[in-house]
Amino acid sequence: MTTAVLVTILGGGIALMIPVLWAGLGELIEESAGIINVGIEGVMLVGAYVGAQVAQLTSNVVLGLFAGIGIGAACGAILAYLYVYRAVDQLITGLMFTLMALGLTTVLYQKNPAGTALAGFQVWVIPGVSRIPVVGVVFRQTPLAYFAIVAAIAVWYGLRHTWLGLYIRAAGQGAQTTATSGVNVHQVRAVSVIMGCSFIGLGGAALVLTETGGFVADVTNDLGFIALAMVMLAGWNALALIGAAFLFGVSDAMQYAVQNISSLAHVPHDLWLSIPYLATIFVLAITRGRDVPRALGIPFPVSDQRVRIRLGRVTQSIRRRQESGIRAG
Amino acid sequence: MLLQPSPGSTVDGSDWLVRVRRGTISSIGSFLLALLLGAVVFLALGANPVSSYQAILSGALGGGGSLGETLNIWTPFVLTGLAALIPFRAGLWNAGGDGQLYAGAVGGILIGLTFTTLPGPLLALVIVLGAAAAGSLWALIPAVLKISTGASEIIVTLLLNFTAVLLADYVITGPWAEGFSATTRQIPSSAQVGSWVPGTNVGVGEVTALICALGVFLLIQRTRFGFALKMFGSNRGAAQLAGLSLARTTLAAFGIGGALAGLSGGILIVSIHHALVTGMSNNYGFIGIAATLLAGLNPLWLLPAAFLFSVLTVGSNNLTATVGIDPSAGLIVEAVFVVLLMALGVLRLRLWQGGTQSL
Repeated sequence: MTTAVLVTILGGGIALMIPVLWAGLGELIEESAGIINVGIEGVMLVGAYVGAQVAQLTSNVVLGLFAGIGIGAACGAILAYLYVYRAVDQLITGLMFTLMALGLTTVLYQKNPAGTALAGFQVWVIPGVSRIPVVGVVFRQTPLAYFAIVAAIAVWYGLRHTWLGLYIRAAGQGAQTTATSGVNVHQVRAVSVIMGCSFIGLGGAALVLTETGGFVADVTNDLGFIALAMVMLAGWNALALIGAAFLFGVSDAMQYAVQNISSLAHVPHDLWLSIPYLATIFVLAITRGRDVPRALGIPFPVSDQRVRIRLGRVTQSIRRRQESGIRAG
Repeated sequence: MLLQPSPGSTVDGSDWLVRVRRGTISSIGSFLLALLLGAVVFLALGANPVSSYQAILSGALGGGGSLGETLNIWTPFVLTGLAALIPFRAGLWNAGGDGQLYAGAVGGILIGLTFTTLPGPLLALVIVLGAAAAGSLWALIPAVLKISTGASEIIVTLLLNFTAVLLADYVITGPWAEGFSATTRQIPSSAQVGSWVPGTNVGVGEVTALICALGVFLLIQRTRFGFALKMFGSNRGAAQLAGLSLARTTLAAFGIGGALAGLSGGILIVSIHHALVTGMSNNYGFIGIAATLLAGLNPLWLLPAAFLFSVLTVGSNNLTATVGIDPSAGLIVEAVFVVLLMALGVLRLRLWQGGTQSL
């Protein structure tokens, strides 16, 4: 294996992993709150379409990126209403949202095929370290790549060490218990869906503004579902998600790179592409669902919340009375 | 997840996991609302909504073999719908209809291209049966993982869809490829099942779908296995206390369901495409699930529900020629319809909230 091939795999792998990492971070936030968003593929498609259109119209990639975030949040608001406040079945609704987004973006694109050839983001070369042989390619990436790593660390920290992260994870472990302790589970879940979908929309925009150079029908090509799988592969840990996304990037880059490696050239490219899926199934099987948020996919009807909040108030007032009683005694 | 009413909802004695609440009127209301939202999309794209819907209707039900095409797509919708329906009755999810269809098609085409010396009708039969077996095996993977490790069957079936597409792609581009086109070589012409209605492809597939739906209806209503399915569907704990085996029921539900989805792959090969082609299943599995839910998990109601979706799907192909809109517009109406059914509470899935049983 020559260094050139290694550079192709490493560089290609990092470039390919970035949209998946952004979208995966969004899905991770939502799943930590107990909402499985199978509509991720659809949100990503919409983000890609709007991002490409805005970047084309304004000739400004950064605006395209923010448009992707904005439309992602809008999709998130719709999905949050359905998932959280209407307590619909998340799998069916998510699948249907994806089909709807596929239909809508394809129809719009066919009517007005703009945003197909975009300038995309410039590469930021980090001086010094980028000169290191082979590994240097890591430091010759678009700004979105660096920000994605920072975002992953921020999401990890936020979920572990802030009060919002605590509420989110509590809502994902058990909505009823969390509600009984006085947290508004619906608000927490709605916020995480909207926040998550902004990340996913950004992932879609990142895809067309860095990778593909423009929008075509079904441009995401199941990348959203890959991101969904990578969140599970990473065991709902944002730092591990970087590694999982990198695994996807490398296996995707391998299908092109191995053409130059004689010993691996006969391996069908479909096998490389199936590695992320197979790895996820394998990990799900061997961890025996240990890391799965306990309330994942279980809706929490609004009527339940009202009861629980009242219960929560009663619990708190009893506790207060007990505490004052202790003090008085 | 699934099963058992949530604490806030009412408990009724019926064994339905999915209820089409307030009956047909609300369903029709949701459908009209979906059509209305579709009309807004058509208007926004500069097309006349009335002529768009006329184009869909004439494209699906008009002359020139279009009804035949609608029925051709109705077959995989019914079969993948049944594949989701059977595990669903036991509170288990099969989101992998597409994958099982592809696995079946792969198995069928490999048989069809290997045993070319067999007499035609026999080969056709072996292809279809082999396809059913392959689909069944593919569906048993999530079932076995579910039983042995507790891995969510929802996620595994979903992920195996993409793996099956890649497998099919390998077969299409690999040693069985027909030049550089997106298809394998054709099965021998003697094994290609012709149509029973002149000018269309209608025939063996549609009849098979009908028989399978009736068969599944009888299976659920009249057999021990069907009783076990419904028992697990309505109360998992009680079913286990009564001595029914969850493992055996899970295996059987996925095995039979996968066989039906695989069967549709085999039928597509012997009667429609005569080869394995790229994009053979265009989200058929997902639309099959939608049809199954609309049918309230009733195999007989699945027949008209699947027909509704096939009219929308096939009719939309007519949109490009008439009003200049991409056929994907049909997907929007279908998806919005199902989302509305769920959002308006017409379609209610019961949820399993017991302890650690989540995804």
